[in-house]
Amino acid sequence: MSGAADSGGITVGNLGRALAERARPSPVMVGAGTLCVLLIVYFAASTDRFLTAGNAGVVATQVAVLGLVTLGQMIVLLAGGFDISISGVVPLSAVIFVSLANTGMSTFLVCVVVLVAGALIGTVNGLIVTKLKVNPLIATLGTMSICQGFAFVVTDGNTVPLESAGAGFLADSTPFGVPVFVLVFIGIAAALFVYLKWTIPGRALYAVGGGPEAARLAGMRADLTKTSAFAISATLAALAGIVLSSQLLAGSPSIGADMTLTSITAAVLGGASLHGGIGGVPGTLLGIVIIGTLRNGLALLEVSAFYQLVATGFVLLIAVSMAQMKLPGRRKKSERPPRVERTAV
Amino acid sequence: MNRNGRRWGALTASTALLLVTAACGGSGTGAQTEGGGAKKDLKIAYANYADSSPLFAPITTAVKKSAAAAGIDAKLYDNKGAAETTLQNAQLMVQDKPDVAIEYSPDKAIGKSLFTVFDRAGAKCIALNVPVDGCPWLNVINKNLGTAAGQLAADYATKNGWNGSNTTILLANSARGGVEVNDTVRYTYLTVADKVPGFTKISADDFKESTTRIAANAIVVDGGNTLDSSFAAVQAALQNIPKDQNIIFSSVNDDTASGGWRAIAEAGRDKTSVVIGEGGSETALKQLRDNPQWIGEIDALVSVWGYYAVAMADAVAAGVKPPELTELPFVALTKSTIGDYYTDDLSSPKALPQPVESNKYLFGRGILESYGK
Repeated sequence: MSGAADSGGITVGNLGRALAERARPSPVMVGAGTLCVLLIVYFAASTDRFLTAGNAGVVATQVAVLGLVTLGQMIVLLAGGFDISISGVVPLSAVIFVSLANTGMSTFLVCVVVLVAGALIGTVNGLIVTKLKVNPLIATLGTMSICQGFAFVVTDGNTVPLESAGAGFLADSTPFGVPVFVLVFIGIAAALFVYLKWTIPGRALYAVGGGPEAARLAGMRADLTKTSAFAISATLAALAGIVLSSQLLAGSPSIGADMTLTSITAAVLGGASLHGGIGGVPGTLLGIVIIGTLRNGLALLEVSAFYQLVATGFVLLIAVSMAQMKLPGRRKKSERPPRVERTAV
Repeated sequence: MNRNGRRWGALTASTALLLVTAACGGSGTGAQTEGGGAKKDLKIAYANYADSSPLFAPITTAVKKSAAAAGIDAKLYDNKGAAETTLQNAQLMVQDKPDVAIEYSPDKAIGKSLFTVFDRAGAKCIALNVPVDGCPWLNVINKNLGTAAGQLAADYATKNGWNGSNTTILLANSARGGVEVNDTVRYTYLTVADKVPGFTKISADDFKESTTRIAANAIVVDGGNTLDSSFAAVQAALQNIPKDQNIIFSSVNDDTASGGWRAIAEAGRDKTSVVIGEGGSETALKQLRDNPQWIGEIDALVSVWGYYAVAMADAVAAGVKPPELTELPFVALTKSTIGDYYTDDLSSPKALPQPVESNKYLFGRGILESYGK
């Protein structure tokens, strides 16, 4: 269930087989699910403030922001890359959002500008990786530094308060008692689920990430597929920046610094492979919930920040160990990249 | 164009962009010489913590301004927040044979090496904020800042009937910031506990960087030095504070104060909470002026540190033996006093605070007196 697209082209027969395959959870999902349940049981037994509606709301709001960038990171991991630039795109988009909103520009237009800027940064990342053949780690490290630098330039290093009354709507509006950005996150997760499962470009991500050369020989536009993954990731990071500044009613060049590492941890914990070609939305959501639950539970138990670091490190190690269990040579049939029909892409 | 051609094209474009960025970025790495008339026969060198940071850049500006006003020859360096650059700069500084070198080092661990460089060259030295073994120290004392914040909180609590039974004190520290940084929140709590009934009295040593709970009504979270991490930490901590409790919130800097305050407001608990900021940033000063629940701001007046550093260099060069620690000024601002120290645009302090015992000798040298003129 970690999202490995395991069947071939999109036909009714394949669809049925794919559904049947997905009903059987992968070992990584079972492991992650067990870890999640154990954490919930432990924290619920340790403090009566954990299993409350109020605290569930807190976890949901914290998980939604991290979730946006983690979904993007998972897409890039699927395509066989890494996106380190998230920690630069988030603060840059946050400060651009606040700066533009403060000029009185319409909030909708500001959001569009910031999201387009994010998509452009992601496209540049993708082009550097695919056309200049630069390692994704190095390429996105470079763009992270550039974006962080510009975030400081835009604000002169200061925190800029959000003065536009309507610009905080993503956090302030709560239809059905749920903040808008949480609903947006759920919508995006659902859309990505459909994209990865039932669309040809989405399925091509698995093929390109699982075996780029084979995908190329099969006639797939591997470079375009990979570039689109980086563009999606950076766009979601830009959206996370908008959400954060809407939530904080301020933009700061120092926000989101730890998001890259956390997003990789959550994605891998949810079954995404560091080798590409394996992963999916349900697993990623599980990974995000584990990280969110762990952070929230440790905070409720008032565990020292130092021990929280230790605990997070252990979770990272568990995640990496799980990834090792999923090395290509040891994949189960259900976790192999899909066949994508040559004519389809 | 073939693939190689495209690569070369992209590399050329990148290089051009880099050069344009460097050109836009300003003065590069070289030192700059400032000086006005020849009123004082004095040559100083100042190495700033990091000119790229808006927190530290005003110090260099103030050194420039005050030295120019006094006719002092000042050569400026940028340590760029890096220990290795600081050591290289120290070697460059002494080559010019300054009468006094003022060092704002990013790392106290390299203090001995720095002093060795200055000592061998026969240059007198001053350590700004971060100690350099062997150099007299000009520093703001965080313990005093924290005590002042605690006093403001205690005054508010006493006036409004808040005490240990109906109030929780919530502090955002910087767990990885070290003892000195966290002295602000440490002494904020100690002062409140001392002056407001119902809070557990502890010693400073009992309030460690790893402390998370002092008592049922005193919680410490790691604000992580940023807006978003403080927001998340306070959001979680609020689950542990009963809704009928008032909250006194303070933190180690203004970003963490703003992030934590936003979490309190989002939880709908702002009407029964108050906040005291630390730092004196423009954003926090605006909050103090406009937000009824932001009751105080401890302003370290970083923008005037350069004047004090130049005045101290002038005194040291003239043979004055400074105390081991010369205090930098700070002010505890409230809604009623902010107008005394700041103009309406809140951009810079109107005047310097009154001298305290350890920095009295800096006054009367014509340098601090030039502030604002």
